[in-house]
Amino acid sequence: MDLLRPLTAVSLGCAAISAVLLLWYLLRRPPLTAATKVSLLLGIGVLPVTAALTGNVVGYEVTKRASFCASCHTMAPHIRDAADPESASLAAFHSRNRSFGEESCYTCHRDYQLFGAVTTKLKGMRHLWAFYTSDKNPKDLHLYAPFPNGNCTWCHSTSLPGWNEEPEHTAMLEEIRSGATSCASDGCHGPVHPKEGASP
Amino acid sequence: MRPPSIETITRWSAWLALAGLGLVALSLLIPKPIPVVAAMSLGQVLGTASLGLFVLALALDGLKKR
Repeated sequence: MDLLRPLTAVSLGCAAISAVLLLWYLLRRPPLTAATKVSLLLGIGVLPVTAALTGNVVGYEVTKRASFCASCHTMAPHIRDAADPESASLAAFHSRNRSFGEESCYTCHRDYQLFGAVTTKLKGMRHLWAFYTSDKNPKDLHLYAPFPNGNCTWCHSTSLPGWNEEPEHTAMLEEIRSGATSCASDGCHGPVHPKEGASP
Repeated sequence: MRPPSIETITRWSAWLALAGLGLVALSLLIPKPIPVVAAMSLGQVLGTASLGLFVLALALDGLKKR
């Protein structure tokens, strides 16, 4: 079950009740009696804090979804390809994996490190800034830094027997671990996304 | 210049809370980048300021009654 729906309902419900209490106070202007203070404590304190907490959880989870990434139309070719059941691209292949689900963009592009969730969101802010301040129809989308192999080896561990059964992997083990050779490079597993309007 | 009355501070607090809640509700109803970022940044600032003003109003009211 999608946990976001009940959380969204809780947040909206708290916000609505709080708004009713606040509008009652602002329009009726009752004296600051004990009863008014209690209703304001609910309307300004308890209910908005609950709405903000649940709203933040929903907001954070929403930003991990592919549909959120698709909000910027520059991502449209990537999203179309990822959702295409006929596509043979690595991104589409991974997106069809139920473990990735709706969060396939985030799962591959997040930072896997201490405070990775925070640094990922800060990078997302940079994307947002770039989208609204520069060319909205770039011919070539590119990452700010090379795609880290650690994001691949987080799941495809270089110490797994299956991974080491590939002669190319064992021959280039140190280069792959050090990042000197990218998993996403052409000739290895790249291009990850369709070439049109994208690079890995 | 006279300091604002307790009622004025409380009303400001209520208006700020309404604005913050509006941003939160907007981000939930339209989960796009700008509404979500606005709710998680400006919305939090407005909500915190609102709560701070309300606590200030309660403290001033308590001092006045002493």
